[in-house]
Amino acid sequence: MKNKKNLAFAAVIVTLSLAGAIIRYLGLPYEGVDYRDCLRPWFDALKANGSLHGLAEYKGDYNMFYVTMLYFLTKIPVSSLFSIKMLSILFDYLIATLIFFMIQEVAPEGKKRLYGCIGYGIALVNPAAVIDSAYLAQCESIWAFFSLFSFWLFWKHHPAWGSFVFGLALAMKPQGIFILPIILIYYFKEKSFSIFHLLWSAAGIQLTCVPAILGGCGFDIFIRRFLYMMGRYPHVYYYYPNIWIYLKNAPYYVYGKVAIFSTFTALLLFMVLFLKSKKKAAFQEMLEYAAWTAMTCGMLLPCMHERYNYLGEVLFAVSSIINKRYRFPALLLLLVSAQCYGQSYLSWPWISHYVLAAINIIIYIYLTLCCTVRLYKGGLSEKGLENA
Amino acid sequence: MLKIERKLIDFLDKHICLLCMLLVTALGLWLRRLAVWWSYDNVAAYFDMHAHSPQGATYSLLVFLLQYLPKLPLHSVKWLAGLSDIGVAILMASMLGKNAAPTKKLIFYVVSLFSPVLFLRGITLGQLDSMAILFLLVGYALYEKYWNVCRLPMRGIIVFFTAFSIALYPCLLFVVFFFLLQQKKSQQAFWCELLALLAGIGLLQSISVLVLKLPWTEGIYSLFHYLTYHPETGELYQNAGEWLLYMGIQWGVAASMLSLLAAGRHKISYAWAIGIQITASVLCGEFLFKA
Repeated sequence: MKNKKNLAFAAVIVTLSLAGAIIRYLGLPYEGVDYRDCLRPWFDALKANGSLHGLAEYKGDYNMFYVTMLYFLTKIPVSSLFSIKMLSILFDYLIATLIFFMIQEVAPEGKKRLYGCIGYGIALVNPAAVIDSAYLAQCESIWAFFSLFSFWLFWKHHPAWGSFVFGLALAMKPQGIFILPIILIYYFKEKSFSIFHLLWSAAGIQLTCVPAILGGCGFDIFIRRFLYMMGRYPHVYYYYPNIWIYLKNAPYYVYGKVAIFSTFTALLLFMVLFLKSKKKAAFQEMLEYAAWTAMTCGMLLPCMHERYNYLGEVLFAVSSIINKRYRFPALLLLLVSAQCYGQSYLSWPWISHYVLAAINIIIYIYLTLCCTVRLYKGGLSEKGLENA
Repeated sequence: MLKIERKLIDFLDKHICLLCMLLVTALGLWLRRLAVWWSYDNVAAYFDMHAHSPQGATYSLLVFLLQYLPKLPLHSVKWLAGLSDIGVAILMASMLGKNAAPTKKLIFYVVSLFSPVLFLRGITLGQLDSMAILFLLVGYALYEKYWNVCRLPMRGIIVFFTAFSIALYPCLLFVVFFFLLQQKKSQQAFWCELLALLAGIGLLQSISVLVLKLPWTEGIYSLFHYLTYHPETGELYQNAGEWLLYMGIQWGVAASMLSLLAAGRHKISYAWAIGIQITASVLCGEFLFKA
């Protein structure tokens, strides 16, 4: 009986994996605009140089960790289009596997494998993930994996490793920082590890820069690239349909900071509410709060590309597997994201970003209310606080 | 975790509401300091007292007096609005009722201080709507506490605060009128309160037109210009869409802040308050940052 169950489980996993592979295979020959204009020229330049010195001569706007990955990909005798996409696809599968284990943590007894398989399947057929990796050769799956893995390690009481992996996420792309709010909230709530563990993230970051430093970059290459990427934009809105589309011509030099510190304030307020609620959060709730914090970054920060809410979308989808009330909003969020990708890169029919932003804002407000109402079931009165 | 770190976290945990409030206030002020240097292209039209200007005479007098402060006149107006924002946020938090938990007060303080409408109309456009709301809320707080128990001097102060808020921000006339109308009082009391208020507004406007040497009719008309005349050109609104946009912008602060307070007091649902806040923010944003 047990063998039969194991066999069925293996069959489901293999089928889902194959389905994910087939969907991605269809997109492999597609050359997206980012690949044509950025990734291929960078790849070719690194290949032509042939040594680590190519990293010092890199002129693009990605972090050194990813450029180093590109450098090592040049050593593989496969075309740049396939090798770059295969790297991102590999991380798609790693995210799906991680989600499988995360879901098992929160699923009811007896249904752990079933729910895990559903999570695995959703992660693999997520249209935004498929388009991002297999069609556009983008790398959101890589930093999102490191972010999620870091959160998982903190939850599993491995703060040093969690912090190290968080460093890898940050080294990959600055958006890796979207997981930091929930880690800090967890730190203040649980008081189970030292804040100094976060110093391990610096080790993670610096480790990824070693090849670049050997190639001739300075020791501060990470910081310099990070600062270079900040403040490059004239306006606060940048293609992701969030709250800033309604103020899209607001100048970045003023309203960029307003947006950043409004996000900080929203996160701070949530942390205060969480700490004051005296509620002991289970992992399922922490996943929802992580979805909220990541989505807060996507919705309120300035200059968000259409793919920067990737982490929020993944976490929201994962939360919806257990919490039924999130299923429709999570699906809608994924479809909005896919539509953004589609109309920006794949010539899909155009839907106004004002409409897409309105949908996203409604979903965000819904998630906000669900997360805060859960903290204070008895309402925001003294009595309610006692009942929470 | 180190011993000192645990002590520090325990301290933060204990005083987190107060520390959060202080931090948020500092951030709010700093962000306003940044925004004070950006101005809307046609901002002069809101201060040049052209024919059918949207500003009431009292507003114009206040702006006129602010010129004598040792700062750029526009910055003086903007900072008056910015500091009033903090006053509004404090009042919003303190007017939620006795049963409100500190966390609820903190939420209302932060949301009010970071309200996009308040930010855009005040420190960005240099309108004193938040100062008017501040006076209205003070008047309302005093009204709730003292109107039925105290004598003439305190009632005079309440009338002054309310009249001053209306003279600064004429949209509030309708708000106060409907507030008085829905109070369950005798007809005589209603008319007495309304007449006292109108007398207060009339007095403030009359002093203003005298000082500014404007025709006396401006004291009355300037309170209603915004209803029919475009605030920048001073001409009649061209179509219904334009009228609706400018009404949304003019009413934005009053609608969003008062609906927020009403939601906090469980008079309306939070969905309405959020909806109004977002709509007003979108209208202000579209207006200020049009390409």
